[in-house]
Amino acid sequence: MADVGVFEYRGTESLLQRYDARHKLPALVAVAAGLLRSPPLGLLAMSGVVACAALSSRVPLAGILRQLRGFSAILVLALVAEAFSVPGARIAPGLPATAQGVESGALLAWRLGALIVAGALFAGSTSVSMVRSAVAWYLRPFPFVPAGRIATMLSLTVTFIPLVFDTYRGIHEAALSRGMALRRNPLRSARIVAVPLLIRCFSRTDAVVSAMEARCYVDERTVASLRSRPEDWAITLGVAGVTSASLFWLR
Amino acid sequence: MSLLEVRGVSHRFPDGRTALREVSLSIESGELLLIAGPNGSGKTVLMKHLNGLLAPTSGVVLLEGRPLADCLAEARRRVGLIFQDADAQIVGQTVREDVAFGPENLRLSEEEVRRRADAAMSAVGLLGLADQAPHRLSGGEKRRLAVAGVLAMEPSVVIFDEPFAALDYPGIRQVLREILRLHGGGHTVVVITHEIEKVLAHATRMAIMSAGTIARVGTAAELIDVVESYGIRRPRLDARGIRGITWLT
Repeated sequence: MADVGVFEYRGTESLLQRYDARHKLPALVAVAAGLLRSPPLGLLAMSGVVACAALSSRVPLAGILRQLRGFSAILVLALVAEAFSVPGARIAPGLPATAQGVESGALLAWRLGALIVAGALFAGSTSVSMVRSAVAWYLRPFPFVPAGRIATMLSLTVTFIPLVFDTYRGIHEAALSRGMALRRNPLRSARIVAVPLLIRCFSRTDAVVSAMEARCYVDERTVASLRSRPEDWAITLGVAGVTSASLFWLR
Repeated sequence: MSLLEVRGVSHRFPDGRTALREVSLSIESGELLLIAGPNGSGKTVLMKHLNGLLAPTSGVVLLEGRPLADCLAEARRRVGLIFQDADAQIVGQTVREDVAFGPENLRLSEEEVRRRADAAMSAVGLLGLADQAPHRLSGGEKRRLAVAGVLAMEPSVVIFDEPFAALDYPGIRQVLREILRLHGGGHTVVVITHEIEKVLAHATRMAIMSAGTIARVGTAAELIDVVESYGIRRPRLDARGIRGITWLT
């Protein structure tokens, strides 16, 4: 199971943490687009952007990579799926994997790995209150859009992801202790965990709604003030430039 | 005039189950009221009526003589609820964000939100953990976080629902100290629990709930000999009497 602790806010004082969330959100979207859509040379450049972000985050990269080991299964799965599904010349007689498939799979794994690191850096350097303020700021000009409510929903979703995983772990361990591993049908095993997980999530949602109401919840709450500094603009323009180059010129 | 008064309140759920039947109870300013009763006696449903989370099917709840329905926002600010499941009360990504949730809902200025959050965290000894993820805290710390989240709204009444559930001995003592600190600081405190031996020595008054009704109201000394007949364990007394059963010696 992947460790979602890697997506937890760390609050380390750094350039990436100070980077205005109103800039950081579109920058993350641009980086994601660049990582997923760029040709190999562009992907190299976008990976450089992610590496710069990691260096500026002052979070030990080795620590992030260690926590990301759990995601390696997803990357290997992507590589294997591509290797066996992309048509081309077989890499060995009797083995249905193709050279083109392996190349395509390696690229896909690289893209996904870099994207997970980018997401972890964003989550680790941006508090939910900053994300909420930025989302509310973007949505406020649109009439009839409940900006405050959407921003709160988004922030609650981010807050509760680690809790859902903790709950999953508890239910999974309880099922294992009662011999779930002896079952051969993976679908039935998944159902054994999924049903109580859903029930727990729904009942917790009810409890959270009560707790929020008890603390006077309103859609339009006090939001953290955001400030854009010249270096924020410089970073955003830099990311936009590298992303454009990666997508359209670096072929 | 009572600070909070429950007058002839009944509550029936949409599925037809009756949780409260003609409940009447007054809560006086500055008291530490213990509401005891077995599981399913209606304690938590009553609690949810005290700050307007649930509306009575019949009857009325009054805050300083005014029906709660007429001053709902004020009631929710002044009557703080601390739920049994501390995890379910946490809505912030960090301790500071969680404590600030209430003041942000009151639309206070950013400076005032910060001041109140710092004061509340400091009051419960969590200021040093302000940037910590709440779900990484211990059980006792989570309860204290829930208290801080309520204190930041500067309430007059603080109501604890089963505050000692699933806590170890040090956790119970931490929470009990917090309850007594609040009471000593002038807050009206209501503790809802079936584990009466943990707080009985400190309660100024006690009410016993049974099958959705208030069965008895009186002092601990008046009621200690009848609690067993309502499905509540009677604490053992030593020579010091009820004062001697405190968990804080």
